[in-house]
Amino acid sequence: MAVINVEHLKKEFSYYRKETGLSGSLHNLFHREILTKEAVRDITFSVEKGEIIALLGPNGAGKTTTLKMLSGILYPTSGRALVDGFIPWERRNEFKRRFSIVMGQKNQLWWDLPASDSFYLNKCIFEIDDQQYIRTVEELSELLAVRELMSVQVRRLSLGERMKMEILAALIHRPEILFLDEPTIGLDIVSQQKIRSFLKYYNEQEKTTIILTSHYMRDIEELCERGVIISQGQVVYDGMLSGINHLMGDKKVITLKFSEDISPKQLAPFGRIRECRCREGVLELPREGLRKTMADILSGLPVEDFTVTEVPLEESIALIFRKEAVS
Amino acid sequence: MNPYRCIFQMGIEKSLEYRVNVLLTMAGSVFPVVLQTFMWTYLYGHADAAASTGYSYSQIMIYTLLATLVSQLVSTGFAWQINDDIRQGGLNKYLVRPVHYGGCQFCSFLGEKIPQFLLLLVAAVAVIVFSMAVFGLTLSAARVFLFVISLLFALALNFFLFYSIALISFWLTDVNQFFGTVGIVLVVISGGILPLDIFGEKAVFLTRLLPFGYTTQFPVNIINGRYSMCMVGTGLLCQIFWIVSFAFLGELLWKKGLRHYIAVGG
Amino acid sequence: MRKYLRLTGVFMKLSIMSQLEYRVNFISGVAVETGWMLVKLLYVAVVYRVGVSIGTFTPDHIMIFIGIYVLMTGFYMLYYPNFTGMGKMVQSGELDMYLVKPVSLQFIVTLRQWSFPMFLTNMTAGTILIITGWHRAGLPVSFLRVAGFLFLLVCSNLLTYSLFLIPNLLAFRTVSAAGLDSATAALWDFNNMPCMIYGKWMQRIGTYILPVFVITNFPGLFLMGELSPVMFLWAVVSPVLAFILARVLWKKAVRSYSSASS
Repeated sequence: MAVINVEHLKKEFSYYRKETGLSGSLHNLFHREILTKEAVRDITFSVEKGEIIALLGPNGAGKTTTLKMLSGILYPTSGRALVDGFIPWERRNEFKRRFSIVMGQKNQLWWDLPASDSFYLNKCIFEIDDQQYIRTVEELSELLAVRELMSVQVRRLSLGERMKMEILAALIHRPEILFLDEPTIGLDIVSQQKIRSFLKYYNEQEKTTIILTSHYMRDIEELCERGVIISQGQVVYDGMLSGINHLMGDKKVITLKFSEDISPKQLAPFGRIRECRCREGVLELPREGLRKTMADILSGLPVEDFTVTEVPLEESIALIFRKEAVS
Repeated sequence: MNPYRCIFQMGIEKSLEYRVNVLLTMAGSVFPVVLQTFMWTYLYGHADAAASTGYSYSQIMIYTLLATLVSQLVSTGFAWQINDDIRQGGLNKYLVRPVHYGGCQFCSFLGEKIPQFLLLLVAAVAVIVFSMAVFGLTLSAARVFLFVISLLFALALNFFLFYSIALISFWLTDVNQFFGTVGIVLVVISGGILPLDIFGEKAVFLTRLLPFGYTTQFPVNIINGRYSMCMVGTGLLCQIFWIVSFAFLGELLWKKGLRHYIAVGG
Repeated sequence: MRKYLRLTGVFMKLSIMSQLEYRVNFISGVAVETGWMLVKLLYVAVVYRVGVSIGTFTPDHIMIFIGIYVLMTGFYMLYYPNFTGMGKMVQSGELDMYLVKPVSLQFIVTLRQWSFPMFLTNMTAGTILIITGWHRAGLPVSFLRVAGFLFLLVCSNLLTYSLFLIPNLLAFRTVSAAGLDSATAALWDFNNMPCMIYGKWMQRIGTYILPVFVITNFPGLFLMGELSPVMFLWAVVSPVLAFILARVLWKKAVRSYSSASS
């Protein structure tokens, strides 16, 4: 059963143009040219209970705006959304108790106090009984490995530690739905990895429905099976991430090492050259007939070693964006 | 170009940059004047206030209108800048160049003051013309001239006063709020809100003895005709005395502070 | 209601703890406020110096008015940082984090941070001024007087909150609030002297249209037994009206925020 249902969601906002300089400001005081921008044009998708899906798209595609509408922070211009049976922008308290949103660039913790104080505040805001609160904090702090940091002021924490605390604060009321907007932005690889594995574990244990946006493909590849790709406010792909390669022509990337220098001319007959440098070459080959082509390469060239990989996800996605932008 | 002249010009540009801010601060200071105008009118209308304050009605009204202007004119904002320079090491760029830090600050201060000075001068002229019409203020050319002179002296005195205070940053950390407190207290004891010599003989004596009144109260009392020419003369001499004293103190603090600064490693 | 009282308590506790993290700031906050106190007390000094009576009010009575003004300033300063911080909150998007909490948004935005240094200074000085004036003026101390006076102080606090919240709502439209702040502060300072010194029209405007004078003058008048029943009623009704207005405008501002931004 779908727990989140989004239909033809649309969000326009108006702004006005300002010419530079003082005369521009004065002009603006009396006459403002109102312009409208569509942040989200037409978005439709649904999410099953317990699923983790990724919202993908370049900057300004409307990912954050969509998440904000699903949290009830913003009203849509038109369209419908139902999250756990609630219309988000009615902002009912029962609804607010069922979900949580974490935004990587905004913090809700009290800067000068230990994170535990902010957790306690959330306990009071969400009216959680003492027993459950203590259990949740203990369990989550164990999982996130932040136990010893509970009494350190937030301003003294590293970015990664702070993000873990943000996530913990967002989970104090055990939400059934979690929106994560760039939760790993700016973090080092180790912290990213830790947060990823936590989210994966938590999702499996609690069957929490998660919508995630991220710029890091590793986040998405590891956590999500399904992705919704947004470009210029519209859904351009909705389906399994593994299906994207298929959609984009189903190609494989072959990295070759040679025992002697090779020229692009020698590689050209086999497929599209991605890279060719001294004793190394990278080729892009269609999956169909791969065996035959490989056999030809191996017999025709002094190959020392080779690997076959999928086209990286970000490349396929970038291709989708480019296609959208052109059309 | 002469470095001091350059810094002076940069000061002018800096203050023009924040012109909106300047205008807003000035607008905000109009309200207290309104409050005081009502208060004095009431007090003088319902009691023999002149006897207890020593100011005539017209004198106190002119004082109220002008004191805010003068107080803003001589006000400084560089204490925070100096504190930053000392704390964050901005001082080093002055130390490696053949310029005098205090001199640079003074030129920058004057440069920042010029646009505000012109603006306030227009306001002051308006107030004076208004006072001549409404309160029957009479002015001689000599008095106006002495007023302008005392104003320039007040500007210099306030600079050296705050320069000396700002240099305390060499020894104390976290003085930003402290400057705020000192700023308010100094406005009060300079007579920037009300003339302090209304509070009897002792107050009169103290305001004449201490340097603070010479930054605000003294120039205003020249123009409203409270001080005789003779008192204006001694007052100007006192201003010069205090300017020299604080310039000397500033230089002394600078030298001592710098030794401290270098000793602790900047 | 219980929940909100409890939350207020938690907010206060967290605020005090945050402020004690920077002890120097706490102390210097008191120092700055003491400096401003000097300005307010200057007016008391003038009144005594001139020895004037305003109508039937002696300088002792006037001191009570100024004391109430100082005390109310303290209460206002208690939650004032929330008002001035609203613009920054909207710009930084911090507001979004509060929009998703199951608590009244107005409550959490306007009564989250509590600033104690300024409050303590003003409350101490204000209370001393009121009690001294009360004693010197020889006003009776009866239960009814004290209770009524305290009740009116509560009303005044509601009025202050509502009245001064309204201009700050412009922050939702990302209007720079710096100029706004000095203008409202100046409006507040008109209460430094009892409103009887102002002209008739100004008194009427300040009582009925923009009821700033009600805040500090009415509790004082009541204490001196000079507040007519009709005026007493107005002292109770005007805060309610102002609060309703502030509430309506608040909802409008949040609505426009939610539909106009992205």
